Amino acid sequence: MRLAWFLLAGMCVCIPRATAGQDRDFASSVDAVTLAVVQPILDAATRDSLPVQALRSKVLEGLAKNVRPAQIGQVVAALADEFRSARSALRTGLPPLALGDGEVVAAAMAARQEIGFDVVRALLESRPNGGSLEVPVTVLSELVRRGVPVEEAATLMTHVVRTAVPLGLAAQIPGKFDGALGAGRPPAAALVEALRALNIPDPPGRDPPGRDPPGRRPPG
Amino acid sequence: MKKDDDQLDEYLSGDIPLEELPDGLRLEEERLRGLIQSLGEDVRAPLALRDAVMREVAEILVPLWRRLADWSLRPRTIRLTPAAGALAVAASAAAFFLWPGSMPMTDPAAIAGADQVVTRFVFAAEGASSVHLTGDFVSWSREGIELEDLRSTGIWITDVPLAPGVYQYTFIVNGTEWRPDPRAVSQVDDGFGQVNSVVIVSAESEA
Repeated sequence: MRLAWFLLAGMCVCIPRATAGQDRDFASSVDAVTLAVVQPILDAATRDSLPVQALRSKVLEGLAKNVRPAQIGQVVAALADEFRSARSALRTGLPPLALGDGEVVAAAMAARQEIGFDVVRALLESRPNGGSLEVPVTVLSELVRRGVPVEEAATLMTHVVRTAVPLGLAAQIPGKFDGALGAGRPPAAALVEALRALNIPDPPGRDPPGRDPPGRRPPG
Repeated sequence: MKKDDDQLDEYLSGDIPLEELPDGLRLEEERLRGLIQSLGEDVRAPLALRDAVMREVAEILVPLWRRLADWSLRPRTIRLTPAAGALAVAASAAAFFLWPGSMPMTDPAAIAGADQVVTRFVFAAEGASSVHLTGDFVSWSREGIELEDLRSTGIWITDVPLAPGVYQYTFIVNGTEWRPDPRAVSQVDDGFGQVNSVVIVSAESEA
């Protein structure tokens, strides 16, 4: 019987500590004034299944940068609204779709580049397995940020996802693209060069500028 | 025999010297004297004997780990109620699965896992006295992760194990200057009037 009490006491210590650990760590890192400002935002975000950890991180970032509590509250509230819009849009009209926090954050960041949620949703639907698409959506945003048309970037990233191009390669596309741009290539040719450098095949049906059609060789 | 006893009495009384004792008694007396003398000498065991004894003692002594192993491996009967057994299983599972999640993440290098990718951060800051890396992967701690200028060239480097994902970060130079990474894949508005750098971490084998 003493063993049972001992184990029960152990559980009483372990489980609340584990489940409330992150909450307590966050609360202990935030001053009372800031906590009073952000807690209602975080509570609402929790109710709406938003990426709360990303919001907490933004609070901690603001504190580390000595930002006033009111401004932290404004920024976190705005970010929560972005997440809410992204999550709501991605779930609309779709069968039950498992959305990871990273995917919601990436979709919200994509929206800042004026990439429609329908584009992101099509990308999510194209995945052959249940893996996270946080990285492909982020690469999509980075390409659009660099001047690649949304449609072209989306076609490429859908191809990357469908053909299971290793994400380690996909993540390097923006960097290779920058290198080609720096060498004076126009955006379309820079994208082709980036794909060549990473040995990623072109999406089907795409006639990339700067690449010769099959069967036609350059003179000489 | 009677004569020997009388002579022995006379010798012990000091009436006659040792030499006047019969040969048998004299030799016996000399042997006893030698034995008594040897008892007063400082006798030491030879080193070989001491070493041999200590070897045998060492073999007889059982080390603690061995005694613990014997204790734990010896079959014994433990009486446990079903409720206590269920609690034991639940407590073990809770401790195993939940405890690590409650630990604050302060040192990424200490929590490197199989699914993490070691990511190198490099920042050029010639003449700086310190460069720290902070970001959402260290909860924006101002202490962050210290970079090292191993060759005193002004190139500060650190390797951080990170799980695949997208992270925002920045460098803190000399403890006060927040500086984005010019080599980053992207810079984003942090909402507070500054800029964060972005790193995309992805395992090579991940698809």
